Amino acid sequence: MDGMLSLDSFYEHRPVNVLERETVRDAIVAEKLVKRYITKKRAGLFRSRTEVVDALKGISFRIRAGEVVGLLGPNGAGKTTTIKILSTLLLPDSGRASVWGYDVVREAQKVRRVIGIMLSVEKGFYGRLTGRENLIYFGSLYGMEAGELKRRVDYLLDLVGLEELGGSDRLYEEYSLGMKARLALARALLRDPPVLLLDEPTLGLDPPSARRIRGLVRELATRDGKAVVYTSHNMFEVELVCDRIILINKGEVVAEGTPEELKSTLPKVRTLELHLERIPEGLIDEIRSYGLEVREPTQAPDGLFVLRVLARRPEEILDDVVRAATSRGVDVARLRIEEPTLEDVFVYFTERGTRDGGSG
Amino acid sequence: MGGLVNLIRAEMMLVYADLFRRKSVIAVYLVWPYITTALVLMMGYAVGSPQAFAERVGVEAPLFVVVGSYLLFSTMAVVDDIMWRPIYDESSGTLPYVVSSPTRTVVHYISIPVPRFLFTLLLGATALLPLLLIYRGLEGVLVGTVVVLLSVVSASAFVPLAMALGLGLYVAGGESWRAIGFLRPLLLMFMGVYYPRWLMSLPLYVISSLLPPAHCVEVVQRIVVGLAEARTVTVSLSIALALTVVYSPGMLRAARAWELKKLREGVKT
Repeated sequence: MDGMLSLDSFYEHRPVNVLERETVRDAIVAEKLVKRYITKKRAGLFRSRTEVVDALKGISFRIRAGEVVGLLGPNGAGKTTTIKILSTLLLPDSGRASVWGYDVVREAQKVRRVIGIMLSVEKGFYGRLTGRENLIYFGSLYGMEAGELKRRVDYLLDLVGLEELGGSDRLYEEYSLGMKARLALARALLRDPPVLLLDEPTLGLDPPSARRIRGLVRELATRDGKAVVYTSHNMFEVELVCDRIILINKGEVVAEGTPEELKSTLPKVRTLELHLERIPEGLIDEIRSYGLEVREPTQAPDGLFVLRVLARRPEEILDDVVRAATSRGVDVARLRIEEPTLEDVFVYFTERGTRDGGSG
Repeated sequence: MGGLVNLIRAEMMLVYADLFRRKSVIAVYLVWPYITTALVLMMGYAVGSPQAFAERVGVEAPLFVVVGSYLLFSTMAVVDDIMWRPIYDESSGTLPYVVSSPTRTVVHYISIPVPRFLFTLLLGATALLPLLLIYRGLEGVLVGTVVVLLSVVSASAFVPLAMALGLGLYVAGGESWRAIGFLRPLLLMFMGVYYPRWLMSLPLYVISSLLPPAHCVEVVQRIVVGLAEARTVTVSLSIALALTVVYSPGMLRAARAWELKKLREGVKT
């Protein structure tokens, strides 16, 4: 959280006419949400073919106030569809969802008063307005009174660090990606909503900007009790920010729990990591012949090839694997045994696609 | 009402930034009324006889055409703004934030054309008033003021139909510049700007009567020609206002249908 502004003054700058907040235990509830997209694909000069894509196949989950929940999944898993339904930008085909106690279909207008959304880092503002003007524009659209809006905008520009970067009065079209992300977060916080829906808020950002956003999100949940839905493909970040993770694959929730709970649900497999000068022919096949799973080799920045072998007790197969390499004239430059990471959890559940999560 | 005023103020900011922060755009905007006036007159003199026009219609062609054009273009600014906005918001990625705001679509879309319309009105007046002064002297300035006021009535009366037509077309065929291209010539033809409504054939006259601005155009033309009687002016303006009321449910329905369509497809991010 270094470089973070204190949030103490945040409470002094809250809009005065925000919705009276009641204590809602479940800030977000999704029950059996189904969404099917019907698309037309061209099939010849005059013909088109209808394609049906099951984006969500009845997902259910609950998110409490004060909780940051990571919505993870591979591309096309249904994360953005879920976020869009929760932010009233997409109607579900069946099932129901509520945000802060309001139904997203029947009470969409009320839902819109209690959410702050961030759907894309790189666009979503008017290029020829400055950052400050953009916030004033959207604040007006959100029904904020002029005087209050000005104070709030000044405060938020400071909070997200745009003031210190000199971005408040610069045209949006001149912004860097990091500045755009900060402005997007400021917009999401304009009305001080109790629920934040953030779709890949740090995508493509430089480390200082990403850190700033992560820090703010974490503090807003911890100190202000906001419920935050956070999607990302960055497992390091998810582990750092999220209290709980909901893993979606092919429109279904395949796992749910805290990062530690999810890791503990993995079969007791650990990774033996070998750093080799080259991958000799036949090495991978020989290791696989021991009944072990071998990941595709990658190349480390130092030029060495990294071979990962999954095993229940890596200590027991260590000698065999090293011998297989040295017998082919390759020295093992480094080796280590890795504990499961969130990435392993992600790969495990998305490849298997079975619901077998932690408690959550 | 306070909300609508704030929205208009916000839209004003957007239009100001769009026009005044691009020198090329503001230059085009400033010379636009004069270029249009010159072009319309050139075309008129090239293809027709000013004397024949004056004999048949009863007024000098330049005056008739320029006054009508002023009303037409200020009214068209409304249609353009309403139809252009969803396309612009989608391309700039602002549409999800607009749709997910608590402001009702119809209220937002009423606020959208106001600033550009006022700007077009003011700029157009800088070409209109001198011309009226030349042809009619001080009386011309009075006529010009009435024309400006009637343009406000015309544009306001047109908002419900413009929104119903514009958003309705988007519901039927998706957001496209082609829809604007389709509507423009139809409006040009049926509003009676370049051919007086009272000289139109019956079918054209009936269709034209369904457009609220066409009645305002007729009033303006009658004033310019000197055929304005209190009764006809009152009837025409009453019809325009009545049509505004008639089209209002259509506007609400089109706005709702457009939003529903977006929500069914999912607003693009």
